[in-house]
Amino acid sequence: MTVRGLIGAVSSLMLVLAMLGAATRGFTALTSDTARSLDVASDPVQLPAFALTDSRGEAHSLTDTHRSTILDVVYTRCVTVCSELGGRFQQLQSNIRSQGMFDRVRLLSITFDPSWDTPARLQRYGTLLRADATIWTFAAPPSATALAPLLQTLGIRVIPDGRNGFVHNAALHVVDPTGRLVAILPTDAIDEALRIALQSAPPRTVMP
Amino acid sequence: MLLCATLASSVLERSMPWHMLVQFPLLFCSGMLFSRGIGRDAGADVADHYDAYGIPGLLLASGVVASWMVPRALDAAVEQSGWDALKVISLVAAGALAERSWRRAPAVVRAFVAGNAVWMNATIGLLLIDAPDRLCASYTANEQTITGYTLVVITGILGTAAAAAGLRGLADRPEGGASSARDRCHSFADRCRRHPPV
Repeated sequence: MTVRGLIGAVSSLMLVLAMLGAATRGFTALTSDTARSLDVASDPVQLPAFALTDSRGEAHSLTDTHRSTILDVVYTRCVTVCSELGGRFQQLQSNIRSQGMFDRVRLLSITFDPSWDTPARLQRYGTLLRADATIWTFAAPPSATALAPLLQTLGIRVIPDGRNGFVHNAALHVVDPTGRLVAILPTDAIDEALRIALQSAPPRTVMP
Repeated sequence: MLLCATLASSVLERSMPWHMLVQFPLLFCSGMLFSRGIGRDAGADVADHYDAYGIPGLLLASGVVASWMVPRALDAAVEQSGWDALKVISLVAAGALAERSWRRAPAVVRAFVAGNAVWMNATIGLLLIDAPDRLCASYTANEQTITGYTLVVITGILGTAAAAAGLRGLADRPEGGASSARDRCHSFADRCRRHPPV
């Protein structure tokens, strides 16, 4: 093989490695979900401003409570991944309560189907899941389109399944008290989510 | 063909099997046809030296296809038109490059590349079938499984066809088919041109 042949071979190999590296975020992520988690972990992102209405019909905002938030995105008609998320959040709620962390961490479930998920339906959904209103809030955006910037930042993609339902990826999102997204975790990583939420939560208030 | 693939892209990309298994081959093949239409051009002599036995070119072409099959890349192409445009251009270019390098490649290199492509795509198909989660955020789990099965079936068919063609080629070799004789004449003429006998 000539020198030029060698140059050709080596440069094509380097180009292939560069392309595969670019596609996989430097060989760290095969899927966009993994890539998003890694991006947020290294560079927390300020979430875009968005208005919410909670299950009592009152205006609610992410930073209202001055606590860290563990956030998930659901819809009440979901029969698949959202019920798993609901179970995880129940476990989180019970951990938060038993560890006495309710003044520092709270849970927020946002629906991406506000046309169906009215405050009354959200209230019913919360009751079904035995949500404690001091720890776990359910809320809806004014419209599905208003939620789009948030979904994009969270890396959530919603695909209608053609049967009045949706297919969507799911994760636990940890947001600090100032509204910065600090972690995206798989739905079974509840201990990790709580740990990260506490890290960015305000310090425990010392009782006088 | 290219026009069809690009115009239909929004339709094709809505479904994973159509996106990966119809649009990709369409784009790749249109690149190949385009290159065949151009034929051997002025730059080919220079390229011949860098593209020894066609290996670098074929490696690059398969690298392009493999990169776009990474789930993260597929999602990017569906979500942003910039990435989609890059995908279209690169797949067409890869097809053209593959066609030119294939012509330079001796039988053993062709056999290796074809065999490699078959098992690589079959493996990807099996991975898609077996994956517990959705790999692409843009597509449903059902589509993922369908794509997996179809990919395995297609590579099985193409692989068998390629093997049959290869075996037939081996059987024909002693007589020398017309095309291979022509190739031998051409390469001999090229060598004479480049290194005229003293």
